[in-house]
Amino acid sequence: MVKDSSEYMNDESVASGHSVEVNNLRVTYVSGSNTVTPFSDISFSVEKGEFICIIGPSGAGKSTLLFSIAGLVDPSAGQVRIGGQVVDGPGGDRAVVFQDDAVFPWFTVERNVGYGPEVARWPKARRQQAIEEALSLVGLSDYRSFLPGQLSGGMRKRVDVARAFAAGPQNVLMDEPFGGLDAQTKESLQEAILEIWRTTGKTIIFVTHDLEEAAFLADRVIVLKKGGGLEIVPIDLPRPRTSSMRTEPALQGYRRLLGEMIRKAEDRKNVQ
Amino acid sequence: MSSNRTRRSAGRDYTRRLLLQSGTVVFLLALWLWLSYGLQIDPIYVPGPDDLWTRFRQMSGQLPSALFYSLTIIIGGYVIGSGVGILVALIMAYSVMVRESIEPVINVLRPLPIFALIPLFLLWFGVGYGSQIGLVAFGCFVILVVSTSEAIKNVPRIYSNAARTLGAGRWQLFRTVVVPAIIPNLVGAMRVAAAQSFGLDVAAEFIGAQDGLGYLLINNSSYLNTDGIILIVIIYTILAVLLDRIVAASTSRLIKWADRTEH
Repeated sequence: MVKDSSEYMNDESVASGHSVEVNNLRVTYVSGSNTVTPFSDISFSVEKGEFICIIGPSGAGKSTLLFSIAGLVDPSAGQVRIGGQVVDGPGGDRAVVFQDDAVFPWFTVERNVGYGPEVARWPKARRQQAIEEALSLVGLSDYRSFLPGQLSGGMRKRVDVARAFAAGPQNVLMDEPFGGLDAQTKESLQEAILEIWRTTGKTIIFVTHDLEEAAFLADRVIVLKKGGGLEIVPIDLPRPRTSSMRTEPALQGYRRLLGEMIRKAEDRKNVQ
Repeated sequence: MSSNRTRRSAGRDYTRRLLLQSGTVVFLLALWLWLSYGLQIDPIYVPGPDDLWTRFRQMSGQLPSALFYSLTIIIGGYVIGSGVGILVALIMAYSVMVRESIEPVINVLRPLPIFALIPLFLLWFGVGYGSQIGLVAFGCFVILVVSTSEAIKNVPRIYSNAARTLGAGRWQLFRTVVVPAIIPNLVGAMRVAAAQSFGLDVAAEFIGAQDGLGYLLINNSSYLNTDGIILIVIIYTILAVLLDRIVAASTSRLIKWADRTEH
């Protein structure tokens, strides 16, 4: 790993160095009249400060996996541990950026960004500081008093990202956050998120269906297979990653590799 | 450039709409004058503007106390009914248990013909203020509770999920997500209830009022004073528009965020 995040490590770090551990996880939920088990018995662990992308064919349970880490979905077997603690419900050590627009339209940008600190009842000065930092991370300091309805989709997504970071979690979970945005906005947000990650030292778990996005962002890519199982692909590209690297053969090679793995992950299911 | 063009065409749209709308109004007024003065239709069916004016001057002595009486019923019933309705709605929004247990009652209230309850109101609250205010209040209550329970169910789940992952507890979730999310519906329901309360007042005054606009309406009706009837309908309409404006203006700050501001 090229990244040096040790200077951002704080005293909350656990002995194992693992931020997120997924052990023999299985999730079953009811959808209409069917019970769906997108995956069972999957395990992996994420290092503190790592950038992980999760990809996989649709129906492999990418979002379900992320939501079980978030504590929004209860596992039917196995468990998720964060900093050694078993997850049972949402917690302050994690924040989620959803695929759909989850910015509260009734609050200003500033109140949205300060939502985590507000409900956690941080002292005013600390709260304000967290808001200022998060706003400047996403470059929205001049829009603090705007209502979300007055912003573009890309800007609202920035508010969403800032809100997740302002809550002060060690882990940020992102569920195809840039899926609905146009290519240009998407690329600039990808670069912004890398910069935020670099400066804050957070652990990011990022679900996407965009293979180039996964290769561009991740330290390691987790490929979920349909019907269970996973493979992990380390992305051995230098950091910081810049816009010009997108077209380079190394990154495109990873993209092709991931594409083949997804196809295989799907095939396996078709044979069954 | 393009914003200039949209602005110009928006302006043209506005002018066009204004012309069409005022055209309709002028046409209806002309129709009225033509029926009344042109065709000389009996004022019992279609009274002319001069009939209305004469009647207005005749009735002006009775109007203040009638207005006062009716407004007491309308405002009193509206405030009580909406107040209790909002309270029940908020409790429903807070507690899933309460919501689920009173759900069957709400499902019955929704299709309930309120005017069919008039005999019961008379029985329970007697002839007079009690049953009249009660009827208006009950009607407003039903509107608020039914539409709020609908609104609560429609709060997008993503907002509560987002709040929960950011650490919001139950009370915070209620205060910062559920209440703000349903406020536009609540305000909408308050405006519907405000409009309905006038109709409810007319019905309420049909059940044995000795004063009030509804009472005057019955009186004018039994003497075939069509001009008087129309006059009172106009007064009711003006009052309803005024109340609606007041409710809208006093709640506009609450729903500012829901304005679809274009970007």
